[in-house]
Amino acid sequence: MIRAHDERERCWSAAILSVGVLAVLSLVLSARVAQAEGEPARKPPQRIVSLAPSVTEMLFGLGLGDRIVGATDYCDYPPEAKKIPRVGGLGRPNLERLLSMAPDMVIATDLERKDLPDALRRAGIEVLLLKIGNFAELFDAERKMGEAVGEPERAARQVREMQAQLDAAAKLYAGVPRDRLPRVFIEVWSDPLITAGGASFLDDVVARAGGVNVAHDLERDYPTINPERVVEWNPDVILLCYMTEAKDAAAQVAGRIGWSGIKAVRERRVIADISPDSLLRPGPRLVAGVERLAERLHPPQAGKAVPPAPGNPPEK
Amino acid sequence: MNVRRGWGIFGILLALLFGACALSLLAGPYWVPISEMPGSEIVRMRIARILLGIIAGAGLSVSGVIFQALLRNPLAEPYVLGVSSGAGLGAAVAIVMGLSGSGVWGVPVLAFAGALGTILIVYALARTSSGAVPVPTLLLSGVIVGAVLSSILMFIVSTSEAEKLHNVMWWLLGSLQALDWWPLEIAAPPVAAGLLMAVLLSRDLNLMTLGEEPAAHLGLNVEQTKKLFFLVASLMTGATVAACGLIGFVGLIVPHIVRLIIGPDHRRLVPASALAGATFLVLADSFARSVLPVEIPIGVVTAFLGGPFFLFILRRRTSPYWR
Repeated sequence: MIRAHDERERCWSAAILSVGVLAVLSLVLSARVAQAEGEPARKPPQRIVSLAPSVTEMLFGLGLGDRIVGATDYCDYPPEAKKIPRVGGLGRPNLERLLSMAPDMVIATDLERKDLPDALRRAGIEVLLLKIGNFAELFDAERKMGEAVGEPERAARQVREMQAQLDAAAKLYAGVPRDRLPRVFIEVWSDPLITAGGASFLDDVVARAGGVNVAHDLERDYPTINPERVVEWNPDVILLCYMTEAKDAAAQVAGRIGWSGIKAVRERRVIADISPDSLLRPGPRLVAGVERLAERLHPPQAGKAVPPAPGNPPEK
Repeated sequence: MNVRRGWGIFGILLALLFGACALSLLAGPYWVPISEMPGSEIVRMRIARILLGIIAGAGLSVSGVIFQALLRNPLAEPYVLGVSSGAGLGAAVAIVMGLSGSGVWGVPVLAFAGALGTILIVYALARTSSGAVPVPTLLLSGVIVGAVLSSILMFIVSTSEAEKLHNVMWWLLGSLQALDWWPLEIAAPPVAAGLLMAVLLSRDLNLMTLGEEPAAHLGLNVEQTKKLFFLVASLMTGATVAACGLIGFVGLIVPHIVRLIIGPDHRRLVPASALAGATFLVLADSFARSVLPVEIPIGVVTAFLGGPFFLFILRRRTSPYWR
């Protein structure tokens, strides 16, 4: 009897225990889900890890540089950013180092491992993944970031300032009809020849600076192309935008096989002196790059009334 | 079969090469009418690529023939002794150090140095105290040195920045994209010299395929011949690699295909492989630059087109092919 009673009691206690565990588990889980799905009603993050140089610049732009506890190897602007402890490459953090920084928020633009956000959220770290492929998305990202870090007004002001600078740049080519805008070939790399296609941010940068990207119809970001295409496109301007130092690049472009007849080469409109960071790195500095490029594409003396040079091949 | 004995095969191969060149002049993203071809900048660019294809194709194929004869191994190819890893490492170092991108000679010079340095190291490692260089030791040390160098290469690749990575990867797959004439200038002299040497000394290659002892009995200075041909083949390989990156498969399959068709006599095999290799690479490049709006690395095309073709030829044989 006693044994049977014991047996029953054990059964009951096991049942109660498992129900309890289940209840606790489901509570925790539902709390998690609620936390993941609900609005972030928490206080603004104090320890932020940035996984992109652009994010770092945007955070500094919001005056939150002192809240960044970790940044990538390439976060070198503003100069203070160099002092932030490194967490790894662009979108490829060293996970242990990241966790050791005890962040409450990680902000990234692109991640090598797509399962990283889930892993970080499981560890209780908020993840903000921003897609920045053109100016519209940049403004959107700026606002989202402002919301997430609790500085929506500053972010909105930043966006207004950037927009104003873009508008100022747009004035430089305000009266130029679209088919008279300079056609620009963007060279991102020479060996192999890589350009920036319609899906790249550079495409938008050139458009905002009053140029037309000749590779706009290539629906990719950085396609490797046959140099024949450049001859056929016959761009008015060649914009060299190498990510690393390239010496004498402009002279080298002019000496290439078959390139001597390209309009940009004949008219010496090979732009090589705009810092690639201000053209390639999405962030507050990008509008400055647009302004500089717009000045080069639309120099004041070559006024709108100047007729095209004689012997121009017809535009397609 | 008169194909195997007669010299008519060279007429056919030459005609094929001319046909490939003509096709290649027309291939590309844009159609250039024949009436506009003289003076067309696009055609000038295509000619540069065709010439580079001829040089690289001939160079890789003939060094493949030489390596297969010297090592008496059907898997021997220009890259077998670690040459590719050495060249790749040299190029990666140059790219990561930022020596590329402005037409400076950094990448080709370091690639060339890497290729030759590797061959010398492998050769020195395989050398016995008596001065002889046994083939199995040579092959083995080549494979191991190659593996070590690739690991260093992969270390550099995995720790470098994304944009440089693209550059390295592209280089490892090879390309005939020529923006300047310098790839032709660095590749042409070593390949021409090596080709001439292989044609003139093709009897020695025939002797070497008999085995080292029979060759020595027949009056050949085996070690000296080996050394000379290693140097020649490595120079040819290094020059091609420096000019257009690592184009795999050409040096392996072209000699085999030619051997299957015209037989193993090196007096005919060497020039025929040069012609066939040139034709193959010119065709592969026409394909690589015209099928998609973006360029395909030529190494992808050579393996994709060459592999099945080789298997087709191999399966058509009824007798065992390699003794």
